[in-house]
Amino acid sequence: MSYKRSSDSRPDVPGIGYDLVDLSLTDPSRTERLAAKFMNAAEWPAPGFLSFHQYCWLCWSVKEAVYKYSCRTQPGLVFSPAKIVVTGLTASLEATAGGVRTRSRLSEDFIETVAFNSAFLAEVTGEPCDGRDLHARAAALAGGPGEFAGDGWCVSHREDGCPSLIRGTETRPVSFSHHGRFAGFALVLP
Amino acid sequence: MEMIMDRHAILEELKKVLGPYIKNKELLQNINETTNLIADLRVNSANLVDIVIDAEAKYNIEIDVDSAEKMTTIGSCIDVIQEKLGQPS
Repeated sequence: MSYKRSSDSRPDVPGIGYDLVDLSLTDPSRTERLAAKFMNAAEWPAPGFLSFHQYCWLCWSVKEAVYKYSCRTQPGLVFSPAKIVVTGLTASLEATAGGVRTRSRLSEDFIETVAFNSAFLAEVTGEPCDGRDLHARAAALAGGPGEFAGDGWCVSHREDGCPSLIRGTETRPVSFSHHGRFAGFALVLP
Repeated sequence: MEMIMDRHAILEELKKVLGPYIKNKELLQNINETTNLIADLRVNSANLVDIVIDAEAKYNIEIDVDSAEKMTTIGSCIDVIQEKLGQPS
């Protein structure tokens, strides 16, 4: 998927967090037990436009994306899904969690979420894809949509695993996720 | 008489819990207490809660949210399981 740049970009550190859930690997018979482990009381009940199973995994995806977003500025942060509260979920699957904006997409096969605070573009493959392909695609897009200004970009991981696209002194935050049949990424564009 | 499980015994059972969530089974052969579930065993984070639920069933214990968050390495998993079994670490 791709998004236009948001008009209310904030000038603070650009962040991005991306998560993807392959729904074929989720078990509806376990949803209630899973939800009890990571959902917050404030997140109940599920909105009418989603099934409980969809809502549960959408919340998981939002929490993961927000966690990845937050790790960029808080290295070593422990993932505490029950403490990241999803609020204000709209029918277009936009929400806020932990003070971070998120946008999700739901299909029959997967749920994906981008957490962001600045201009960004996100893309998902929707196809089986190995990590190297994904890194190459992210690098090709690093210069901006619709142009091949991405030459020379490469993916670099911080010691804690947090990835960025690097070219010389330029750095662009990027976030990768893969689960089962799917892999995708989101990156901050200039 | 209730049987006390030492850390080694818990580890052996834990391998069975982790098995379904690890693609490369060879990774299970060399695990130790410092092995990280995500970084070393490549467990997908979406399966972490599954592992907590399976561990609850395996050891007949209940793992609260705060304890579950500590289960990032094999050693911390064993710590939590021992604690919930009411055994000294």
